Amino acid sequence: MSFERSLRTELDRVGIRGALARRIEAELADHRRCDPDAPLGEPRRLAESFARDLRAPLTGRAVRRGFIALSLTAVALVAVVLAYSATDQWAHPDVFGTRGAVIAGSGVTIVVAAQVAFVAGMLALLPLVLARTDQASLLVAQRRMSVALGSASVVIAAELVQAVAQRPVVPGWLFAVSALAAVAPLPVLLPATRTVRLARSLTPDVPVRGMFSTALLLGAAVAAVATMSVGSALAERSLAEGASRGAIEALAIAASFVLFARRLGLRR
Amino acid sequence: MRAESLKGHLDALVLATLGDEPLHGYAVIEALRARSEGAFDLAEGTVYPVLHRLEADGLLTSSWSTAAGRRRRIYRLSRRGRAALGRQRAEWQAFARAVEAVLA
Repeated sequence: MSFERSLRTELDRVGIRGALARRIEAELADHRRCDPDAPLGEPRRLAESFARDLRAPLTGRAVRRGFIALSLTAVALVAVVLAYSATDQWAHPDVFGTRGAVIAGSGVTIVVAAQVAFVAGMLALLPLVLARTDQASLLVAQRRMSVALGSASVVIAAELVQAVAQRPVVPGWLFAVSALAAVAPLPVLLPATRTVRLARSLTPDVPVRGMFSTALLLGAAVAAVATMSVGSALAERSLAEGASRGAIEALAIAASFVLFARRLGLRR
Repeated sequence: MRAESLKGHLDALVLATLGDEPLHGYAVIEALRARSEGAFDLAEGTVYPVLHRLEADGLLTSSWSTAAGRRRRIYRLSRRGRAALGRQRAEWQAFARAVEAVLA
């Protein structure tokens, strides 16, 4: 097998594909044109060197880009909420109607998915802040950012659904602002997702240990539920509203833990 | 000098090689060999992952250029790379002085 063909196979084996693989092949082909007898080394070891050298910096880049995308998604969401509040345009749909159900369902989806994105995004930053570059830490950071960006995509989709459902009951400009704000983070979110995928493809699966004690996780969950309950009770001036939102928060946290705890490196 | 001896120093050597002018991968290796008077005779393939990593770390930038019908990736130091080179030079000089003081 020729060097070029063997290199392509080995790059693919270690997860280097697409534009990056083409660039490496082009650079090494140019090198061999300069010196056909150049000792470039075995394609297998060369491909493994690329993967080993690139997985940490690409994970760092993926987390940074991902965090920017999450921040933009949050800013856009807050902007829409403020626009609705400032113009007193919150729709009061008939909750028994299909439109009302869609609006309410997308609203709950936004609240839950945004929290998952926030928690997963913050957790993804941890290995970076602690300068951990072992494979398990990189893997955990990639998985967390992957969950965070996936949740942010769900937020965006739910925002769009909600904007469309609200369209008949809000002014045209408010619909346009909502729809534009929903899709505004996509030019940053999509490349960030690609970078996470690339970093993930370069990192082999290794065992990941849970990073937090049960007491700490439980404490964080209780604090989140308490914040939601008290905050809602004060904002809505209703104990019943506070209790119901607190209960939804508790259910959402429990469901998210069951679904994502292992992926997020919270438990074995 | 074997590649193992250069572990930990290769980043600084590559940055220093690119300190004077932008170069493509083959030219970086040639410059390393020439400036070390042949002492650094690396497995040439090892330099490319280092170039890619330094770029991913933001210490280098790169772009395609075409010369005589050949498409080449040209690497240059970024501002962060130049600062890192300055730091690594200072660290190496302090280390070399200390070793010299002990061995002399």
